[in-house]
Amino acid sequence: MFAAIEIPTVPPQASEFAATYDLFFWYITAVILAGAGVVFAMLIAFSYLYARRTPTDRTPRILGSTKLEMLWTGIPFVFFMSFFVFGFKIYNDQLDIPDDAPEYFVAGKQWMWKMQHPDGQREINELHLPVCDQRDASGKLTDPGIKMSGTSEDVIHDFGIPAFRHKFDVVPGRTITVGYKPTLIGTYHIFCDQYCGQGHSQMVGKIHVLSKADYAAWKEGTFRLPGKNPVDGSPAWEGRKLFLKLQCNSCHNNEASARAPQLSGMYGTNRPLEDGKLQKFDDEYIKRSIRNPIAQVAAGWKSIMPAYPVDKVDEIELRNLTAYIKSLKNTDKLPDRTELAPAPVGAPVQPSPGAAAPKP
Amino acid sequence: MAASTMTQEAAPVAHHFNNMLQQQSTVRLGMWLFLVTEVLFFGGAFCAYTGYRIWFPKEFEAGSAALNCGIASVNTFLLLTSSLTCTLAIRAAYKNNQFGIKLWLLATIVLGTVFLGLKGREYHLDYEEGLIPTSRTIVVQEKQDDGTYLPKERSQFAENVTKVLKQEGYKTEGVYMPRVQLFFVFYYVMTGLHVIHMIIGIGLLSWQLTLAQMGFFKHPERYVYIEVMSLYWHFVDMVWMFLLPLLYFAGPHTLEQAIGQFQMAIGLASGHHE
Amino acid sequence: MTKVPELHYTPQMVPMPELPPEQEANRLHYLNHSYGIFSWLLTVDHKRIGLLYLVSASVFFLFGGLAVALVRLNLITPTGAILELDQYNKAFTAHGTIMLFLFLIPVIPGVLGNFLVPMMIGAKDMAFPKLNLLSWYVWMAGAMFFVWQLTVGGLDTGWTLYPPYSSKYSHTNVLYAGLGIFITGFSSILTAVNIIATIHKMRCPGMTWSRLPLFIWAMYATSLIQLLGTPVIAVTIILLATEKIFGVGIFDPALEGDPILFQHMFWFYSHPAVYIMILPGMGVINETITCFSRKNIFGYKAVAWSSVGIAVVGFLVWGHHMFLAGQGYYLGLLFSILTMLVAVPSAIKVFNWSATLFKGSISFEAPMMYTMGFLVLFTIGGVTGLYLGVLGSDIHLHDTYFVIAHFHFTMVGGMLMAWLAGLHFWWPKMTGKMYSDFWSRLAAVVAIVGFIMTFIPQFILGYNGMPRRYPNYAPEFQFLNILSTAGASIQGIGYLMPLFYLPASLFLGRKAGGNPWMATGLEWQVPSPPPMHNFDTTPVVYYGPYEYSMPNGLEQLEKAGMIFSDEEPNIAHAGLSTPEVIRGS
Repeated sequence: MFAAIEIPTVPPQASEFAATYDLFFWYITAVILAGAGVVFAMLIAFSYLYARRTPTDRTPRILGSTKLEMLWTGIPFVFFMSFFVFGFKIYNDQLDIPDDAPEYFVAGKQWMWKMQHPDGQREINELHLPVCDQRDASGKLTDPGIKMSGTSEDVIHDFGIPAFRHKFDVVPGRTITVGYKPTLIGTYHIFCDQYCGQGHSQMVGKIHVLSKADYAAWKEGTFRLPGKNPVDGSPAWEGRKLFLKLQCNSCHNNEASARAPQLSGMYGTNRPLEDGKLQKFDDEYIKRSIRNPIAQVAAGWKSIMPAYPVDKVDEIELRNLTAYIKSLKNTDKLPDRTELAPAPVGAPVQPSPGAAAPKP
Repeated sequence: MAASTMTQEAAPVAHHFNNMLQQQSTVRLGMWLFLVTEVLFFGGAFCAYTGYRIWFPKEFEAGSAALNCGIASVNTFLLLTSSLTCTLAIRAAYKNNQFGIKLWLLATIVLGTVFLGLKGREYHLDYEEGLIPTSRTIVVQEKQDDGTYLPKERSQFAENVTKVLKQEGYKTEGVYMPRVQLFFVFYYVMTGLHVIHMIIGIGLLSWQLTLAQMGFFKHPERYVYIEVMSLYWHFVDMVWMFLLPLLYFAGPHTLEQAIGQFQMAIGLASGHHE
Repeated sequence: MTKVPELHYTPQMVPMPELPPEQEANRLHYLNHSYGIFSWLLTVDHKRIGLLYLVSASVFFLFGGLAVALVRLNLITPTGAILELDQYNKAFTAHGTIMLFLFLIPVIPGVLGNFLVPMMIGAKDMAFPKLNLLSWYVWMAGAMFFVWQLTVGGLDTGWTLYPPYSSKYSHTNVLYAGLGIFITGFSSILTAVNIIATIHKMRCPGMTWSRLPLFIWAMYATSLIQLLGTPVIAVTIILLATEKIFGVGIFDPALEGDPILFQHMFWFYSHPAVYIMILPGMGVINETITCFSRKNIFGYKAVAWSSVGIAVVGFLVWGHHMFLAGQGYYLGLLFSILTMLVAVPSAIKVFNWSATLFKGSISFEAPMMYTMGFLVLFTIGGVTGLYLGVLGSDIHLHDTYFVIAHFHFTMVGGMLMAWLAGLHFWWPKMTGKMYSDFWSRLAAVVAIVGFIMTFIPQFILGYNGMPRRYPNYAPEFQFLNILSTAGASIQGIGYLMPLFYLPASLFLGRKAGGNPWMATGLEWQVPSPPPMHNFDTTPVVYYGPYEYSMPNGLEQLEKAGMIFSDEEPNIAHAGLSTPEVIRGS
């Protein structure tokens, strides 16, 4: 009947807090199972042992026992206090956010989560974070983790990550700051945990914990999960905008009549130049090709690319363009030649003048 | 305590009570229990008010300064006196003084009604001065440093309150005017709830007056019903005694101000506040 | 001296003798002494008012059940099987509000409280009979208005009504629905006043505070909470209404207000409200567990004072609903400690009840089956509350299905089971008829099994992070949701069954007689259905309430020349605790 009956048991322990939390959770569970077990055992035993035998059974006149009362007041009280102390300790620990933790920002609004990274990258309903894996000699985590400040733009929402065992209400008019220390690479749920209207159950997202290297690449916009664009606000995203603004796509595009080579999947490969030498397609090569293209022309292509000195493309823009080109995978397509200037409806698609050069 | 010795027959006891003493005692307890709920009811509003006042002392002081404390002072006198007359009604009932019952109940009703009239006038003046909390905004031309005017959107209420406070001579620096609206919301809610309770009280007093007219209180044991009525009336009075300092004394007022405001309220002086 | 019948337990008063059958058929009692719709709608008899509450509360229970059927059916698939998002939100809000305000809070005080409190203390009626009737009318007016608002536009804020959503963003009838709840609150207050005054002033001679049945102690504690808590929700609704009507910002941060203030004020009532719901249920359990194990309650004082303790400390813990709302570090600390404190009296009660069974003589008719169900399910509900009351563990579980499972274990597994236990226990007293033993036991089993199947999966769902109030959910949660819905269907059958065999007993059931369960309380010493004014002569009480283990105590007193059951005893000064007439236990 069911392809696979999935019974979730324990969510992944993806943060440092999750591990301590689960320990505490199971401690409480053990104690209460024992306590409830005592009660259930009594109920079952007494129901069996003292079931009515005759309609006129005599029962002893037991009114109470102060000793027993004190026992079963004191013992539960001690355990409840242990819950409080233990719980308070782990609550306190997760409130302890190092000052040097990078600050992230989340805004909840009906019905989406908007996240912002310290370097300006922006996401909606997704959050990429670097894993914390620096440990000292005793195994204690020395990473500062991240700081997350949250608010709401309209009603009260709640930013909840079950894999981190953490959530906090985001309240309009207030900003609340919490800290995370993700310890397991993977993808986990983000849920909105405070009823906020029609789309409350749609206000879900994904948190991606990446290795530190992957995260750095992602920040730049060169690491992307399949099918995604470079993240908003990253250098590669800025680079793509510039690619279109400078009309690089009038020559570097996907058409058969393109006047310039394909760039997707080129990064890291060795390309033959005009003079036969092999050139590694790396950051420096990209930058030189933009600043002074005639110095190294790719084999089989005309030397028609204009140069972009620093007054046309400054250093930061150069970095962004490089990041964008670096991010293009084999499966990515360059933007169409007409992306910023689409043809009129019904107009035939004209091949561009110039050589129908073979693609490398 | 024994009822007064009269030759008429004793008042009939309700069917579920054993004797009049039990009935009286139960009725009293019932009213006290009800008053406990009223304490919690107003107390909730008081606590909310107190929370905001601790956070926004300047704005609440400014809001209070804009209130008409002349009317409030006269009203306090009226209400305290009405509590006295209500107590005298109990005494009259206990002594089987029918005329006294009707006189003192009527006096209480009259004083309560005058209170309500003045309160209504106060609300009307607040309305005329534009001190009704609203989310409406108006566009004012704000004079810039270089002499030009720029249109700015301001809260209508904030503009009205600033005008009133300037007339009072209250210094408004450092006060965030839109927040004064919060004070006024509580002012209207708390005094409004008080007014509703007074209207109910006057209604009940009138009903008791009618009963007295019909001879219900010819049995002196029935003084207990006037006693519980006056318990309710005293409670309404007590609420006012808390509202007065919380709302009216949060900001500065002077005697001249109070007199002038009262005169203006009853039409003796014309135009603006003194 | 009247001949005292052969008893193997000691009632609190001398039982009224049963009439022979031909006179019994003509006996006038509270049901047949007058006929006609107005004799019911204008009655001031507390017993008839109790039945009025019974009918209306049962109808509202069905409405609430219909709403949850929609909810659980929708949750069969992760994308919502039968409802749109808005419709689902209205359905779960309807379920919550109807079950809480129109069923759980009024049912035991309204039905069993009204019916039994005067009888259990030996009085002829409540302290304020006309106020009692007014209380029912106010409740009906508010409830019908509220249900009408739910049907004509719905309410989609959740029963918690949090602003700014409820004040600025919701497009549903928040204002009018709030008005309906406001009106029903008055009924709560009037009932509470009545019960407290009755217990203080109308106890019969010999009924000292320490001889009161524990049901009375529970009703007293409940009424205290109702008295103190309900006005605060009333003023909160007024402030919310003011905010909506006039567009001002009491709780709206855009207009200088604070949404957390609403939460404080709301939960200041709503947490004690859950104790209003459970304490009467606990009171019923005291009565059934002693009767069906034929034993005195273990630790009378402990149980009595724990009721009062829950009532008092229950007012100090409201912030445990707001640990993550931003209420402040020290407040969270304080509320967490106090929540641990309030858990202790409930634990004491459970242990005392279990100890009552020790060396008893236990039989398992329907009331006892529901009682055992209560003991198991309420224990689970109570201990799972501990996770939520502790700061550290609440972070992960707040607003997830774990919370839903917890409060359903206490409210349904606890309170509803106790209500059904009470209904089945006192049904013969109220109607004079006995229902089918087989069907009632079966219904109990079906309900309890269905309940466990519904809500245990929800603990797992909550721990895995499935949030509350979600019409759509992550696909991996589907199997557990299906299990839960299946359990709900079974549970529903269990609750519908009494709708058949209980009315059927009115026509087909055998006559119950004055004391079919051989219980000790005052209400069982008069014929069933009780006479119009409960007792023909004022009862005099000689013993505590649960003397199952002291058989024929009355005979011993009679032999010692200390019972004078023919005379109207000299009733001491009204309004004061009646002096010890007889030196009893």
